[in-house]
Amino acid sequence: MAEHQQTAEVSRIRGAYVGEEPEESDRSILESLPVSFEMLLLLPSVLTLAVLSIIPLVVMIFLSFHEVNFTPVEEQIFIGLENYVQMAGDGSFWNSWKVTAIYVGGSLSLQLVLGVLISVMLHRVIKGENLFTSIIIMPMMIAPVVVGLIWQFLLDPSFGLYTYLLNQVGLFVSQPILGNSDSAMAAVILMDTWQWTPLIVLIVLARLKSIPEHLYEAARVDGATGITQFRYVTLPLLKPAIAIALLLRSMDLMRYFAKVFITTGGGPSSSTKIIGLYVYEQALRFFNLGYGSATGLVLLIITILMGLAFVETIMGGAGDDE
Amino acid sequence: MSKSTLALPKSVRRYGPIAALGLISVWTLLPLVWMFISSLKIRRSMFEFPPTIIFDPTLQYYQEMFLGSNPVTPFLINSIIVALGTAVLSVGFGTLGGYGLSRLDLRGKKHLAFWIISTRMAPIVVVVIPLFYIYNALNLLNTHIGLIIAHTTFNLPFAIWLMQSFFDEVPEALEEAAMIDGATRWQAFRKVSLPLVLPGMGATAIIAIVFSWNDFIFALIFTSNATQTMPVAASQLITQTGTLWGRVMATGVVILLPMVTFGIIVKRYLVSGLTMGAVKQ
Repeated sequence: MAEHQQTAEVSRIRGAYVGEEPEESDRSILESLPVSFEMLLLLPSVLTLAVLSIIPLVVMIFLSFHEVNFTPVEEQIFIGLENYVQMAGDGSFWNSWKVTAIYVGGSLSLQLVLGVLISVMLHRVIKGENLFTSIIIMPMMIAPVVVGLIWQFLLDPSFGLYTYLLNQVGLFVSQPILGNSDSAMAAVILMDTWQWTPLIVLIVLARLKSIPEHLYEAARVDGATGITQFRYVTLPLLKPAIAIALLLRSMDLMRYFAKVFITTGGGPSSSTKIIGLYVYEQALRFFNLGYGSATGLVLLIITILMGLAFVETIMGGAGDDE
Repeated sequence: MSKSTLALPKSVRRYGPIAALGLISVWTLLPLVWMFISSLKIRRSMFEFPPTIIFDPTLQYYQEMFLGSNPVTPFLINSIIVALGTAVLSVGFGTLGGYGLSRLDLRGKKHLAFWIISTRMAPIVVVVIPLFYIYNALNLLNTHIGLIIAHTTFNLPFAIWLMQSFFDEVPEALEEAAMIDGATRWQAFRKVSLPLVLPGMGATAIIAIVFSWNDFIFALIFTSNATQTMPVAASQLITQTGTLWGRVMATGVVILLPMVTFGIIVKRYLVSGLTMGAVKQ
């Protein structure tokens, strides 16, 4: 019997018929099922994810067409497109997108430049790389709440260490850093830069290490110097890594808002109210679940489009199978 | 053939990068060191400027945190229960799913893979709103299981993708060889491939724990006093009337220390982990 099964496997693998055709009863239970073995193993995950993603999505679309009340009675009143109409005319909603654009754009460009610079330097340093990478991964492991609390402590107008240091050079003597629109935005961008530039460093560094030395040698033979070598050899080869880093970072910048929530709470006067925080406030602070769902759906669609770009970049297209 | 690169003195080119990396290390470590120092300072010396470097360290805040009238221990236990729960669920299903996805030969596989990861990319708030509504109806608010399920929404797709990338590295020929020796598909998976990805499974579990442990928004919405996790407890130490910063910093240290340790343990896998397998170190 074992022999039958064995030959059956062999013939399946090689795609060639070897030996006697096994009888139906010889097949293991796994193989007699209508789905493939791979699909069978995927099934629990796919079902779980389907439940965890499709049901909430349907609920959210449903809610976005309703006015949801919790008191005095729990009820949903169908209001059609009213939430969406309200959204179109909601200045603070559009302002949040503007704030998000500055926050995401500022963080990404700062982190990209710093990240590439650091990784190129790290690549040139022979000793101490291990120690240095151990240091820079630390911020990434820290809960956003704790990051927010540390930075709030550092930037406190009366006893913050960074406020003190900036005061020594005459900055922010009369104004708290988190109390001014521009400096508050700069602070939340710097806070994210402190925490997540290391990810870009590590991604770019992994790519740098995989560039074969002979490419540089060839470039040197052709007369390339430090900067031209970086411009024409290193940078083009880094592009895929940079794309992955930027897309991951941009999606996370859209996803999370806990650090901003802790440090500025979106203020002063909504100057740091990124879209995630805005949607959160609408839905779960003011319990405007319907309107929160409508604005959340817009956020979801934009994030999904960015995710699609991510998959296109690393998989060479989600649409076509090879 | 020009040998000269930048018009910089040799010493700058040699020591420049090291100096710059030193500077970045200081920028990275200063907030953490300051936090740790502040957690050991008595209230009076914490607000002294210029800052005192030499002081009598006190473990007062740590003592209060664990032995005082309002200990964090229950929140710590909540955090551990939720993190372990979601890690077991995610890595269990994720290993099977990752293997399936890796070996699957199917038209539209990329669509499937994209759909899986897209569930991970959804903004937190977009998942929170409908789950809040559903949990409210199902009485799952303020339960451990509710938060475990919520964390699984981001940890499971992450685990599937990461495990897939680990299984991709195991040559199928190894399984085929085992099956020629009489192993079934399941045995080939269980006895040949699985042992080879065990370190990857460990790394996936640890990173899933980190994500869960660090989450704030889900925990804030889905828990109350009895099920609160550490980050929510920490955030509630900030009050309008007067924040005990020493206590806040000590709590922060307790939250970050195990996760930073984990990060250093799985350093080798961290890049693959945080890029969901898109980048290999």
